[in-house]
Amino acid sequence: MDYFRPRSVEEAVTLGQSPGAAFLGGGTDLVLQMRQGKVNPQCLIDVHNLAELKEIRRNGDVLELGSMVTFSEVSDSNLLQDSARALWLAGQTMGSPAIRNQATIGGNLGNGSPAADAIPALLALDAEVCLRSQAGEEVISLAVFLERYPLLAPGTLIWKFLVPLRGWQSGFAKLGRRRALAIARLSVAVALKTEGETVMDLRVAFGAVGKRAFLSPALAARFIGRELDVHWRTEMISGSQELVRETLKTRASAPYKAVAVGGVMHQALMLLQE
Amino acid sequence: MNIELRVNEQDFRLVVEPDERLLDVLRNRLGLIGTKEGCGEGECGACTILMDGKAVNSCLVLAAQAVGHELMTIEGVGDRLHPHPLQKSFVELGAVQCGFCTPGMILSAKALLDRNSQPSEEEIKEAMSGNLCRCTGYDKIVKAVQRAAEEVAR
Amino acid sequence: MKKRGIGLGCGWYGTGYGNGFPDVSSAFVEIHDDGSATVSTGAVDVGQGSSTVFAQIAAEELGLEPQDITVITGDTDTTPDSGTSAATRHTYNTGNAVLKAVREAKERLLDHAAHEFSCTSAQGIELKEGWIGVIGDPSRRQPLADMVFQARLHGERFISAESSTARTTPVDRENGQGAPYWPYAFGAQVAEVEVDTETGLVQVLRIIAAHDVGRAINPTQVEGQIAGAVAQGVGYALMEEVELHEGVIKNPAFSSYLIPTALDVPNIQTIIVEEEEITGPYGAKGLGEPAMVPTLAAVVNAIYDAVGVRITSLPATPEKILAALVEKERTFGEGGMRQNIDS
Repeated sequence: MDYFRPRSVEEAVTLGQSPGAAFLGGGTDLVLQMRQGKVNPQCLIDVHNLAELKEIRRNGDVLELGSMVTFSEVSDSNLLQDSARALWLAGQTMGSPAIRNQATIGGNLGNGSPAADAIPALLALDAEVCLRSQAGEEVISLAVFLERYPLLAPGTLIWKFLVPLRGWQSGFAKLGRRRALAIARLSVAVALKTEGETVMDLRVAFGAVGKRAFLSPALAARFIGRELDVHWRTEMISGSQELVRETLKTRASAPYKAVAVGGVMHQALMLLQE
Repeated sequence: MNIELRVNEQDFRLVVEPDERLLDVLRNRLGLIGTKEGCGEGECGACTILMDGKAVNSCLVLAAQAVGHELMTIEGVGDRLHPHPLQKSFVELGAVQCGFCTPGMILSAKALLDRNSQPSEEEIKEAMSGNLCRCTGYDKIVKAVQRAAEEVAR
Repeated sequence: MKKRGIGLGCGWYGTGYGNGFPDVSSAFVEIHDDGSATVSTGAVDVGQGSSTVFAQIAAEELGLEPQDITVITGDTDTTPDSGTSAATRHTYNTGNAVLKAVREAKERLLDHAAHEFSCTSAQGIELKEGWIGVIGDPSRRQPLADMVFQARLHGERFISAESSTARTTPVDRENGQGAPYWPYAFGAQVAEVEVDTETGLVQVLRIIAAHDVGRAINPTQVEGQIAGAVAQGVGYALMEEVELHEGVIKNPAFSSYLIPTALDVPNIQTIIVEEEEITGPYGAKGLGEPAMVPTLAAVVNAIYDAVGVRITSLPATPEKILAALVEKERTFGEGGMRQNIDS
């Protein structure tokens, strides 16, 4: 096996053309999968320390998040706390402190777990993904990107995320089997744009319901243009329950998740910033 | 491959496999067996070490990834003659039972105290939440971290 | 909505192997000419603190400090078999063997000292704070080390080997009579929980645990054992389950068999009850397993108190709780009478 530590994204992408190459981020998934024999890369391209991939910065009305930003960096960021609260909240609850210190948001996407904590938050925040490969750059909406199978073509590097800053409120909640080190059994992210008491726009995303996290424009559409009255929370809760019931159909987890998602939705709504 | 690691303020030149875990290099090549392997999947925290002052699971980090980072294992925290306040308080308050989780617990606690010298009980539990303990029920561990924090503050 | 409840669990537990199974512990003791002593026993300290307890027992008996005692354990070349570190048995069973052995070595030492001090009986000799001397006569005493050293020059050594056997009988299958265990440990715990009625998640907020330990040889360790047992009990009650499929464990890893983290364990208040067990060393008996028993009953009862549903299989998972809540609502409507559920 070969191991490379490129000094630039360009170099990383060139090295990514090698047969059997895999990009190595924090390693919390890949190192384990290699050891378990689930993947067998011929060549590791370690990008975890690439400065270009570690930036959290505001660029006009867009927030740029490098793919190698760790969950700890997410949860320590005041910028994210103020402007991308759903992601900031997801950063607090993922894994354990030691995992959060290593695991990256790009790795979270690349690993492709249905329970990935950052993905519902990024979906709700209408993030775009920037990819780099020998073919060049590609910027694609995360929601569209998640419809690709397989997710990533060989040699494609997840470069960064672009999160539009539109002054939305957002929240995130997850349900695990215990209070730390818990894989999400359900997660809900909500992003909301209001004018006065009227819902101008709404995005609702779910994790660990099906193979990949997804947005539900249909659920959101029911509330756009409506007042934030006493009923909206209750209807969001019952709407999410219907949605999960329909999505999971006869799966073993359906009876539980179809009820419990209401509680997770409730919590996500409570966590929407003031 | 040839690598250079900085562990407990000492530099080591080593020849390792590209897919060799940091945990194995620390234990098998450097003889730093205070770092334990519990689960090997990042779920128990027995292999916790500090990388640039932050707690990481050394079972999920390749040795090659640790190049250029400052590493600290339990051997670098203190010794019998010069114990760290955490090591002292763990022993004095009975926070050590079988001892297997202890090195990882101490390092997670050290990462916390280095960053927040007056943590609340909840902050301590949060900081230690990636370190499983089956003996103590965490009760005396949390108290030992509180005691050490008081001593560090003094 | 989050609802709180309180539950009580009580337990008793027979310690030792029981049912007539040979339950033998052994120890070798030597009092050395530097004023220290060695206890050798097969009993392995796996973190419960048995070696500390043995050092304390020997020190108490010899008028020394625990750090003066070297405890050698678990070496088949040098230590006598004392059975497994299991069944809550070392403090009681092996503690008794250690105490017997120490007393045996001490008796030889006292006999020797009586002769040296020209006393007619060893009754008048005491071991105190590293000294050996005549009770009530401070002028006739010397450091223990000197006495043992001089004795050694004359070919006298203070070495002993003793065993202790816990006597039990199998239960008569016809009439249920017998003495299957000795001694029994008793405990009671109160749990306060918070149940999220929307997700079925339970958080145990507080456990108050009172346990009869006969006599707490090491109170810090007793607290540690209780807290450890409570944490395991919380896992037992809420999340731990070995999943078997055709004899194969499906969750043999920490990622799939979940145990409580520091955040899942409640605040634990321990109450040590000392009701002397006359057959135990200094009145002590075991605690390890018994402290886990009441926890799950207390937790499951507290869940009932909080939301009015009885969970009758373990672990009390969010799935079971939520299903029971849905069923309760279907049967009785919102806030249905919990008495009806119970009957």
